[in-house]
Amino acid sequence: MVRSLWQLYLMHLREFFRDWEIILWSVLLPVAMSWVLGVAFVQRKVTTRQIAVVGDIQKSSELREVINEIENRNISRPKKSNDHSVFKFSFVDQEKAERMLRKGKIVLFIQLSQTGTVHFHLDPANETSYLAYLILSRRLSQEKVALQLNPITTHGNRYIDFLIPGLMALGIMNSCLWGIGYILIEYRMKKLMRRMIATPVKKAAILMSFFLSRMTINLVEVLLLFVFGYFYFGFVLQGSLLSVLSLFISGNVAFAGLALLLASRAENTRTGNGIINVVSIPLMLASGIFFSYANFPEAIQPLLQYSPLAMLSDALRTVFNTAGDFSEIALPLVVLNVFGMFCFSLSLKIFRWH
Amino acid sequence: MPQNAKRKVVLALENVDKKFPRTHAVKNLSLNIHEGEFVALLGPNGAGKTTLLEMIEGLQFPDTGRIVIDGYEYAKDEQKIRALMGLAFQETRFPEKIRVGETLELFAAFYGVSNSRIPEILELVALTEKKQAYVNTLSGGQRQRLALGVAIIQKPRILLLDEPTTGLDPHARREIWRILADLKKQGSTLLLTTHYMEEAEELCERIVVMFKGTILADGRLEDLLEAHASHEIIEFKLKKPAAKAVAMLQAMKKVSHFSYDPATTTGVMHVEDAAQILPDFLRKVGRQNLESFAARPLTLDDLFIKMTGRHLDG
Repeated sequence: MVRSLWQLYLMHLREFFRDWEIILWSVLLPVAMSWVLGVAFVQRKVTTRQIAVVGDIQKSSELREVINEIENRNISRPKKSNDHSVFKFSFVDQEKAERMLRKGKIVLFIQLSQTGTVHFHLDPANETSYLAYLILSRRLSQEKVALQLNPITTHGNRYIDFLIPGLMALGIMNSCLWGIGYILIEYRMKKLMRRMIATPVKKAAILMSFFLSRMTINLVEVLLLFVFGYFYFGFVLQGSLLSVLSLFISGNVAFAGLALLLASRAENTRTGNGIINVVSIPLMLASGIFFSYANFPEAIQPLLQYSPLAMLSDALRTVFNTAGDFSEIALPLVVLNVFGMFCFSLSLKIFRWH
Repeated sequence: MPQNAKRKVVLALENVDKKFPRTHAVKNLSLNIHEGEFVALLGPNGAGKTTLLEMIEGLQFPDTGRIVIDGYEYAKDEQKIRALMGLAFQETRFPEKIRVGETLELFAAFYGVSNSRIPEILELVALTEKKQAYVNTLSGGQRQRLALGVAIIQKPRILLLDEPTTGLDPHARREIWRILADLKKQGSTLLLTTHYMEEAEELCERIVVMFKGTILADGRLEDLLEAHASHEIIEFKLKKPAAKAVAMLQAMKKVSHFSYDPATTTGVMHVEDAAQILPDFLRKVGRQNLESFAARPLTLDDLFIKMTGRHLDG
């Protein structure tokens, strides 16, 4: 069993790593996507950012000075930037500021509290807002002003921090569905599956080899994405390694199970192609990876959050971007594993071995 | 067959019956294959060959009847049967980016055979030089030889080959035959399906003809031909239709089979000795109305057509 499993495992890895086209599309594409979405899409022209200020500005001479300075000679983004932003300040009351923020007229608003602390109200998932915050807070901290970030939403920060965990989740899903599902169908179509089960090898070893080899490949892909994010964007892991690992494995269980289910009947790869797309494309659209599922009708939003891909990407986002404890990802871990095992046992009942 | 009576039965089909919703694929079929026998299973498409093979392979199970392989049955000893049976299907495609040697290592692991057997196998199927080659660089004949190598990796007691040479050129086919002839010398037992009459004639001492789910004929090639009391075939074509002459030919003695197609004015006769009836034949047809005439020994294909009304490979 162990020798067969090892040989099968080797076979899958060889098949994968000897095919440059596959590597290009499945491993390097997510990295390229993170680069394109994280860097290339930022605006290069000079833009004016509106910022609202709430409270009596006269109470903080430092804030007043900074604002004056910024208004007088525009400052640009700190590093690696093509973006030359001009900041315009308007002085309004809190209610108006909130309304402006909701409508996207301002990128953030600054509130000066009675104690002199400067509060920043913004949606950190919005890259523009976050950058404005970075620039302003840097200037203010030089002037020794007490600062506080008041996020409008509870999670996330930079867009790239939001994006990379999503790409990891998407990578795991696609890799499992195509690397296990599609290849299983291909083996069936090529009669290779029939040839293998005609030997004394255990069917469990065949399935396990798919799971383990794919998990290895996914590990490489996720690590590559992380290393790229780390060096290029300063993307870091704030949660625990144990949480990431357990989520990674659970994600593999969920999507390997789904892959097996999708591959359980199809007799040729054309059918398999359709089946995998029909399932993976809606999952991807509704996952909140590229755009928030807040865009979907409210009635179905709760459902979308429980889709396995959304669960995995949300949970990975939580773990990478906040230093929360294990209990935060307990629900996703359970849901992903139960989902995977359910798909797995269902597919075993209907699996066509030849 | 007295010489078989002493030999051990390695594959026994006892009253095997299998029905599908639309077809009765195998009808109460019994067959014994003995150790060391090379048996060809022939039959047109739809004869039930595939179903029968799949049952022997353990992919399908008979509705009634038993299949006993070297004393084991699937219900109890599936793993033992899988360990002692070697298989090759015409359509199997091994993973493309895996080397020949690696493919053999994979299957050696499945059968629990030491990797030290691999050079021997490569030698036997003449792929030693291709050990490091990816499967996708192999020719059709080389792929089929690899499949054969995989099939014999554990020195199987019984070898099941489904159309091992279909789609190969004559040279590649001969190469496969040479390997199988070697295995025969080593005492292997083989059940082979084929569309090629000459393959059955060349390799197998025993021919089983299957048609519509039953065995139509079973025996040594010579015995089958003998049983039909005709050794030669006359094929002729007339210049213009001649109903009277044809009726006279049909009535001739010592003609075991006669068929004539008025549309093409061609006919076929099975006779014991073509030379002997030639003068009589010419008198009846008339030299001037005979466009072509050929006499040749009876082959399995002729018998097959006679028994089933269909060509073997059609």
